[in-house]
Amino acid sequence: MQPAVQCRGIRKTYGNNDNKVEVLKGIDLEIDAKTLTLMVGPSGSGKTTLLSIIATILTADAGELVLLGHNVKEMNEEEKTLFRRDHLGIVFQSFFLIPTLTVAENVSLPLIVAGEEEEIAIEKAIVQLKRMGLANKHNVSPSNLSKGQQQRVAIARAIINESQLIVCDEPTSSLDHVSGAEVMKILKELVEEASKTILVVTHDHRIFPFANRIVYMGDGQITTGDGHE
Amino acid sequence: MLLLAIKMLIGKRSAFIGVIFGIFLATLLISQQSAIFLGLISRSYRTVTDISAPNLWIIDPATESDDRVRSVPSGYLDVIRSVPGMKWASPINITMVPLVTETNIFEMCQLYGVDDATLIGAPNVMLQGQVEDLRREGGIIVDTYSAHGALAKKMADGTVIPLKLGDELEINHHRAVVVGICKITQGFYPQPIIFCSNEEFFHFTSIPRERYSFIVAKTCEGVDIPHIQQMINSRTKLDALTREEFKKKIVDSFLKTGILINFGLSVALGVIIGFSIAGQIFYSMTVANLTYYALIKAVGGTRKMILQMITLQAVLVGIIGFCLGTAATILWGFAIEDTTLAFMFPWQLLLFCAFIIFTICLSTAILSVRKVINADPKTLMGT
Repeated sequence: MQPAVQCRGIRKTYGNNDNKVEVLKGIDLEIDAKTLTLMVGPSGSGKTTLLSIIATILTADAGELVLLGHNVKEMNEEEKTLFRRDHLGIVFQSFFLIPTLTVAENVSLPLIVAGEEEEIAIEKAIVQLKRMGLANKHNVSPSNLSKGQQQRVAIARAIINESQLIVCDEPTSSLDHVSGAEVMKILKELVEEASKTILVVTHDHRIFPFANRIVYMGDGQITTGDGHE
Repeated sequence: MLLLAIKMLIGKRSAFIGVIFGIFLATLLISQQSAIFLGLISRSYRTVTDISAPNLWIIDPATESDDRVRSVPSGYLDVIRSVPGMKWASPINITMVPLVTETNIFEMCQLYGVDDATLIGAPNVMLQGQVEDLRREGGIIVDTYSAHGALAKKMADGTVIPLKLGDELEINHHRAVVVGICKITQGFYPQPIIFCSNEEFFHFTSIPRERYSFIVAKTCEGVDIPHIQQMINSRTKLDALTREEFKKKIVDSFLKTGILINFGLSVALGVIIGFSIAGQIFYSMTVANLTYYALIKAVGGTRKMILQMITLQAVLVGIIGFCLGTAATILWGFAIEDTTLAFMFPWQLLLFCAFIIFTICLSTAILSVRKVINADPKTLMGT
């Protein structure tokens, strides 16, 4: 089976001239489909930069990136945007739920952006919220939810467009142990029951048991990553 | 998507109301000040508006308006009447005279003298009395605003008794009798306007009979009016102007006073308020939502989509603020309809205000769009 994510020789440098910092030094990484992969490493190791490149919101200076069989290098910014819309789900550390919209409207955002009718998008959002155990919260403001619930809403938003690849940036870092475990349980279920491929950047050791694979990064390189838990 | 844009706009209620208030205030200032200005301008040529029978006004080239008149020799009346294609010509006199009421109210009034035979130039709308009564000895017609205002009797207990038919006044030390109350377009200056026959005019004012303020004339149907104007000009060395030409001359003279600059500054103030309140709040609101625009980009929203969202938001607040501001101005217009305050709100003014408000909203949207277009989804990562 073709890997969901293929990185070959990915390089990224920030700054210029004397202030140049090479953040990624030729990353080679393959992530199998239908797996939950954790990417861990110390701060400044380049894991968020790599995740941003895989999420197609940052462009690598060199190297090749193939996501779900699509070569990202050949895409312009507009095509990347549309690729994200159709194939990618992103879960952010700070949730980024729009406070002026209801929970269901937040979840339906990717569908509305994709041109779906609002009524249908809201119906689909409620289905996803049921999956997250938040069916009765669909009409409230995100500010009325706990942080754990907000992150579950963000996950619902990431999967509503039926994306096969979901990238998560520290999804449990602002949650307590119980909420963090709940979120990871949901992500694990998405892999096992909905055949999603999930890549998570994290510092949180408590969630390691949920991973199919852990990739360690240090100083802009993959240090170890072959071991499957 | 556009519904989402509206929800994002309305969701921040205080900012939303603030932007609308800014646009409302700008619209109100621009439209109201412009309406007052146009009202005053239209009053400046009230004589031409109200005396609608003639289609030519023959004036001395030095005459600028009905209150800056250089009179014309009366002998030219026959010369004008003799021009081929001329149906009739009639003299009109205007001057300022002192007037004292029975209760010793003193006012300077604008006195109109109209042709005794034809009464051309007399008021069209009579509220009391008959125009023909101007032929009575000492007969005058007073405008209703003065009859109920400046010339009304003010009693000791504060009651105001309007002038009525039969009341006597003293014009330039001569007895005059009110024979009619008329409705006219109000003049620029809030002074009483009195009509009398030319015979009484010369009696009241002691102005020599050899001169008239204007000669008004009517041409026959189907004649070449520019040719007639040319003939009058060459025979009399006077200016024969059509109604529109005379109105324009009066307005041009009026604008020399600097009134345009004063009202222009008020309109400019409206524009500045629009930009500074609405623009600043809208911009701040957009900047506050920058993260969410980055999010929309992250989930697949294109630049075009975001551009549409911002434009819709700007247009929506613009329309709401504009409608409220215009409605307030129109209500103001209705409220002062029967007072001496000037107000004129033609459809062209509505378009003018809409254009200015549209420009404010568009500029505001452009400022915000520049920021939003550069909202970067990668700022969402690692935070």
